[in-house]
Amino acid sequence: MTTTGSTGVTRREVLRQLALAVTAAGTGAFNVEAARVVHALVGEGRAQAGGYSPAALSAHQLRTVTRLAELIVPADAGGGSAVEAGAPEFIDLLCSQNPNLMGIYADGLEWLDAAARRAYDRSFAEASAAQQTAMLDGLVAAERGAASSSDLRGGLGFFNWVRRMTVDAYYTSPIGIADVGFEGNRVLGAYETPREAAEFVGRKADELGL
Amino acid sequence: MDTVGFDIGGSVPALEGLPRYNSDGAGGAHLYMPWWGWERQQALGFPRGYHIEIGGGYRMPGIGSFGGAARRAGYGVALKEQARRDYGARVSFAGRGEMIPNEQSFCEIDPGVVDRYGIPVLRFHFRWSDHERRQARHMRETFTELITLMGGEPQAPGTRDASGISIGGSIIHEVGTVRMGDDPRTSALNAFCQAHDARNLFVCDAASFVSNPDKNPTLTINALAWRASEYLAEALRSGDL
Repeated sequence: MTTTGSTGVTRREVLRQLALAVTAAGTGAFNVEAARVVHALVGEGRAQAGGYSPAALSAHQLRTVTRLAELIVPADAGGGSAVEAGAPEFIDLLCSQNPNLMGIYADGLEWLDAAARRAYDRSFAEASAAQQTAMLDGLVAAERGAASSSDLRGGLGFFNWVRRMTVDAYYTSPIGIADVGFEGNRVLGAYETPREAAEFVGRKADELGL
Repeated sequence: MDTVGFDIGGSVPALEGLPRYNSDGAGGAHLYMPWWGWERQQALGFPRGYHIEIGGGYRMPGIGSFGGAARRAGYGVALKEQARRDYGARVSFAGRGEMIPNEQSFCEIDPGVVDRYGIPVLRFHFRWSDHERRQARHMRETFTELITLMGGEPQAPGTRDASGISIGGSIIHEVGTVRMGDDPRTSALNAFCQAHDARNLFVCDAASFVSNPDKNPTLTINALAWRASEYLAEALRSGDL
């Protein structure tokens, strides 16, 4: 892994910096380019004979993260899924470079399996789709302060981590970028707002009485 | 001195469903509103103005772009639909205002600290005055009103001190402390950035500024350095220096 970008920084170093930034206080401003590097590493990992081999997560942990990613960002009529976009491998690669992050996932996945065993007598990954969905619904309800979901509050921190990283992995991937319809990063001959966009804004301004 | 900063943004539901287009280059500092209240400065309670940098459009998605959509929608297809609605529907306003000098903002030779060569280092003192605090409050009220008028929800922005103003130095327009002026008793440099006390010393960075305009300081630094250089060249040619 010695490929360097224009700044002379290795991709491995970019991965490490992004992984550390994820758990540093007050971050959130690292750039699109770093995510692109991680996606490239995921792609190369998947292209290997025998497929992607996890860098940090156990096979069971990766299976569980994959199922979570599928539930958090599923394929729909408007776009692909976080699993297609490589979110589980994205998370695995970042975990491999940041022991704090790995700890968050190890503890969180353990909590999730324990909660699934209490409710359904099996691990989260082995639970039925309806049971998995019920657990995520419970977590969202707990997040919104529903008292009946208080026993799930212990997993909220982890749920936020896996949701946030799944969403970040998806929307920084080519299919996620296409999902929201980003049309930039192309050479422009002129700066022009399309007539239909200008008319749309004019109509909305009229509706608001502006 | 630093530039006075106050930023606020908000999601504007009226912009949901706006047709997608390539908005590269159309946002950020490219939309700019100069100060409009200069005739009312007495009534406003702060003597100098500010400009507004307006942000929005379809930025390239990055880390954290859809964290808000995820929290609002929970997970699943609802999350994706929320992200599509939110994308491009956020508008932000960044105020950048003029700071005027005050007696609590200066530098001096540190009595106790030296660098590794044994040379005493500079010690900086900085404080916003009520002028800047009132200006930042005016920014907050103005931007909040704009977002609310558009039917949006103003969202609390990033780093700032307790009074709502940016942390000194965070706009990274640090200027002043070796001020320019004709009177050697109240200023260190003459109009050509030449020290009153040492004729062969010229200070050609932003230290000579006597105020900190709301604009970025680099072009003013260039212009002052240019003028100082012409003066210096002429003084060398004539044998004055």
